[in-house]
Amino acid sequence: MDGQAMISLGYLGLGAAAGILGSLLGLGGGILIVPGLTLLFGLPIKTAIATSVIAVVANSLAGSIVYVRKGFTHIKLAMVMEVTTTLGALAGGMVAVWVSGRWLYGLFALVALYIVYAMRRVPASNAALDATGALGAGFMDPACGERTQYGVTHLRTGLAASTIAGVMSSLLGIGGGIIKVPIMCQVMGVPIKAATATSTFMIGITTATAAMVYLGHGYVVPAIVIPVALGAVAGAQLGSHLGSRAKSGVLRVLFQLLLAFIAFQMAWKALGL
Amino acid sequence: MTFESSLHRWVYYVLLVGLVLSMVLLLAGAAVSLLSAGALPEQTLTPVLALRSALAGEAQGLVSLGLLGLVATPLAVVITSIAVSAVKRDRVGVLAGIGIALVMIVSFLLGER
Repeated sequence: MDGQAMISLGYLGLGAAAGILGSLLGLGGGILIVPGLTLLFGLPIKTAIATSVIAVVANSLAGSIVYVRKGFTHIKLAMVMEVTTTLGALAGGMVAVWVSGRWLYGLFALVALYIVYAMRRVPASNAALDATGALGAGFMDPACGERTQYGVTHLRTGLAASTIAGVMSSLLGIGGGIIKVPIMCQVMGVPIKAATATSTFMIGITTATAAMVYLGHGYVVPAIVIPVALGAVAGAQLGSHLGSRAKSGVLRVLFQLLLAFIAFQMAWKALGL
Repeated sequence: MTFESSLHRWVYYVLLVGLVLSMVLLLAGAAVSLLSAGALPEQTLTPVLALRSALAGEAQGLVSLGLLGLVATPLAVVITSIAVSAVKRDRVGVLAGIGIALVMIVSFLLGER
């Protein structure tokens, strides 16, 4: 096997790892793809981000097929929140093309540290249900065999958080689910299963907006994107099966440690050390 | 059929067709490229060139069209949502969908080389 084939297998493995972990922990996977491509394969950060947004779109589409079929996704809420998210993504995508790589490394390190902190607070079950409020919806929960009804509150806060998630998504090539899921669960009254499914659906639309900008500017390299995206789609499928058996607490701590290490590495690069 | 179940059904079909078609084009392009050149393409083509190249069975065109299909699938989902909302007379759904579609189209035009 020649060197190029080995590198392609490495990309495939990175995509699969990001897909498995992203699916297990309810993240898009971009938070691992970008540092993986820059730190392990030495690629420029803009190429890594462009690769990541395409892989995240593929990952989101694959996950949404399952969630929409099960009826977990609140499509109407997703569409309302996406109005501000896509505006944020458009702004982020345009800024990312012009901003220097060192600033992107620094911002990525800060966001990674925020995620380490925020992961302590993501609820693990269908808590804080409220059947009142606008945009009421429901889904059949196979875990308890009953229909879960809920309403949506604090829509304005959700729209503001979605804008920030959109900017971060296209600026750094991450999905933004780590911002949207906690806001939907803890502020807007959406159950965790519906929040995860709705966020997964929204991530596809948001990152597609950013991907159009990167694709048009020639940052997308098929030789890198194809193995990463295929690995991410396959990994997401495997991760969703493993998810029912894995101990989420242990996984969360391991992921936090890995992310803290990545944040340190990215900060190191931002400082030019 | 209720608005929600109708929306879920149509969005599911569009997601499924979009992802499968994109993956088939990407895999076909990758296979042609590996068999003919021994490596995957390094660059993408513009939409018009990608279509011409893909119709000629060239790897770069197939891969570019697959990537465009992948990125365009969420836009197709949004357009489907607008159509279902319009049929079911859901004004919020129509307005939100049009807003998203406009931003996505502006992104696409800004991304044009």
